[in-house]
Amino acid sequence: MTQSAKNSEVARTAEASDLLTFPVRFFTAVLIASILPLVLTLFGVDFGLSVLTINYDFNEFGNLPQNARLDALFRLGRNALIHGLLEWTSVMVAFLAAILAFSHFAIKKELVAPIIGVALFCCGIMDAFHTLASLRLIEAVAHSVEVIPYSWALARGFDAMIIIVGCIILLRSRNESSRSGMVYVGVITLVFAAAAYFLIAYTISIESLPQTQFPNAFITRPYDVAPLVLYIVAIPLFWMLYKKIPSYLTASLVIALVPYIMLQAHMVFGSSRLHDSHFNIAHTLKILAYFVPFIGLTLDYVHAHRQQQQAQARLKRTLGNLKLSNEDLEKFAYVASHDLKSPLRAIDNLSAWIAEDLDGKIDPENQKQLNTLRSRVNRMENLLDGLLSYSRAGLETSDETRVNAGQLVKDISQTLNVPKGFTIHCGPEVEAIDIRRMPLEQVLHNLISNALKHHDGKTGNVWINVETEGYFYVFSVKDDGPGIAPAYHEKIFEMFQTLKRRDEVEGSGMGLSLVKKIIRRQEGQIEVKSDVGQGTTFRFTWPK
Amino acid sequence: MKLKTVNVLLVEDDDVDAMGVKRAFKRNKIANPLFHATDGVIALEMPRGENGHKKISLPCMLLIDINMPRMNGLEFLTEVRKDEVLRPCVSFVLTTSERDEDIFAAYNLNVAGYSLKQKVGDDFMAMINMLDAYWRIVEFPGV
Repeated sequence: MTQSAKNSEVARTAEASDLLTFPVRFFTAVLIASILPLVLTLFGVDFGLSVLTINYDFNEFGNLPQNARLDALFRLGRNALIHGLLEWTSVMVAFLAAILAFSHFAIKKELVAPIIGVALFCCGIMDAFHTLASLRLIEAVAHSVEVIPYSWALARGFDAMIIIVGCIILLRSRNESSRSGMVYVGVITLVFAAAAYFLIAYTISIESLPQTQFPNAFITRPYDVAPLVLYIVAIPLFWMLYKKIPSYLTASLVIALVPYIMLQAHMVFGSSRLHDSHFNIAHTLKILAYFVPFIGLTLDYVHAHRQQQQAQARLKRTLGNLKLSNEDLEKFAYVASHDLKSPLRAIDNLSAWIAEDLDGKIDPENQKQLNTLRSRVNRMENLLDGLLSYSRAGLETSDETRVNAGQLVKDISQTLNVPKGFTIHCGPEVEAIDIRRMPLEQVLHNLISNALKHHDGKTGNVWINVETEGYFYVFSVKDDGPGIAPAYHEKIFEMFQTLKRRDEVEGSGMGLSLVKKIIRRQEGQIEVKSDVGQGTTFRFTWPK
Repeated sequence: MKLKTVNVLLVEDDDVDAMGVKRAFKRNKIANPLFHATDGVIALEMPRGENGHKKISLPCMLLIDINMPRMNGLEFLTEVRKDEVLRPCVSFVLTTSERDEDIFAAYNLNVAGYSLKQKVGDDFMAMINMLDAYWRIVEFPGV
């Protein structure tokens, strides 16, 4: 197993243990709610609606006043209305849950949510058709006595299939948040929605539907057996899904199977006619079945929000620690280099006095050694100075002085002792901008002095230019010096790195690392373009 | 008018730095007596003749380092300014500290000058020459 795979494994386990333990209380509550109607029925409670027969004398009906006639009609439609209300409630819950699922996906990018959303949405569509047709708001060819149980069985079967297919897709997918996954979901949505539509459209267009209800048989509604079996098959699948992607959402899918199975059982073994007790219990449980994933999604939101808050708190702590250790490091570098300088100064003094006192009295060999000693002391001092300025570099200065960039380059050139034969050229764009003096001065100073110091010719040029790029200036410092082989383009920015022996070119090796540090503190970047014999160009971004 | 001999008290914990001052005195043929205290506590005892030290007579010029063990230069100066006898001493700070706070604090304690000893060689010599000229030209409170 590779290290990264191991890490992701660890991260996954951590996340899982962080979340779940299966939400037992949620499960228990749903279980009780699902079984309660059955228990009550066994105790003799009847949730059914009596079969309404038209026992009005139509002559009498005709003689009723207008309002009373209307009331009578409403009473006649009561059963259909209650069925419609129950169905429509579940449709609304399904749609709401679907919306929640899609927004969940937008935030968490987990494929589980949209696939469940699609399933719920399609179920909602089928239920809506089923309801509208049963209420005769959509013209169906067959009678509602046949349409209702038939389309119910279709809708439930379809519902069970779609969630099982979705579950299998999720179980097979390796990466549940890939971009191709989104396309996948889109295609599935279209296919399922179209299937849902055509199934219902077909159902309501058939004149004679097969018999669906057998009141005297053990299995009263055989067409509902298939969905029941599918829901039972879904139990291990959903459990596997929950184990693979533990979340409140996947847990809620497992839990939702309880009301699903219960409601189908009520239909298969109980309901012998429309609007009887089991029929109404099944419709009510369907609302519950849609409601459970809705709650699962909501819990997931809450959980995600809590996790985010914890992560933010952690991040804040880490940032605080980082800042502290950075401060420590800077202080350390400052103190170390400062304290190291004091014995060095003593060595410098003592060797100077020895050289003075022995001047002319020692042989050339010793004199040379003494000179080397002095020059090494000097070098050490340069290194310490470099370290000191590196530790201080980029610290916020209160110096807000703005200066013309062209003038800045001129000022720098004057402090640099430009050798004879060398010219520093300043582009017209540079002279056109004003900029904060510090710490740009240090950056340009180091780059220009590098260009001069490492030049191998008797004459040479340094060009300074600037372009504007959005919120940044892009400065370039170009020279016609010896150039730097690409192999060293990384190395030159490291601390204490020099490409030539210090006995050849004296330098601390801190110049470019200092430049890089300052530029990064300003949220800029620096790059080098160069090759042997081609000169060197440093380009860096700088905030306006 | 007879020139009063000015004693010089060097308050410096670093022996090499002290050697540097002594050496500079010798090279510039400065004959003024030079006394060396290695921290502020000893430097307070010497002009008072306490703790077995031979009493240094005034007028006296103080050359003070800042970073020292036990009692640092600024604490020493504070004591000097409180002391009836030592108060008229002319004080120079001679240190490695470039901190602005130290410079302000020193001048608030009425030092006559503050110079950095980073610069060895010619600059240091110039500083010593300046001191030499200083007590030639400036009148010290006679005792």
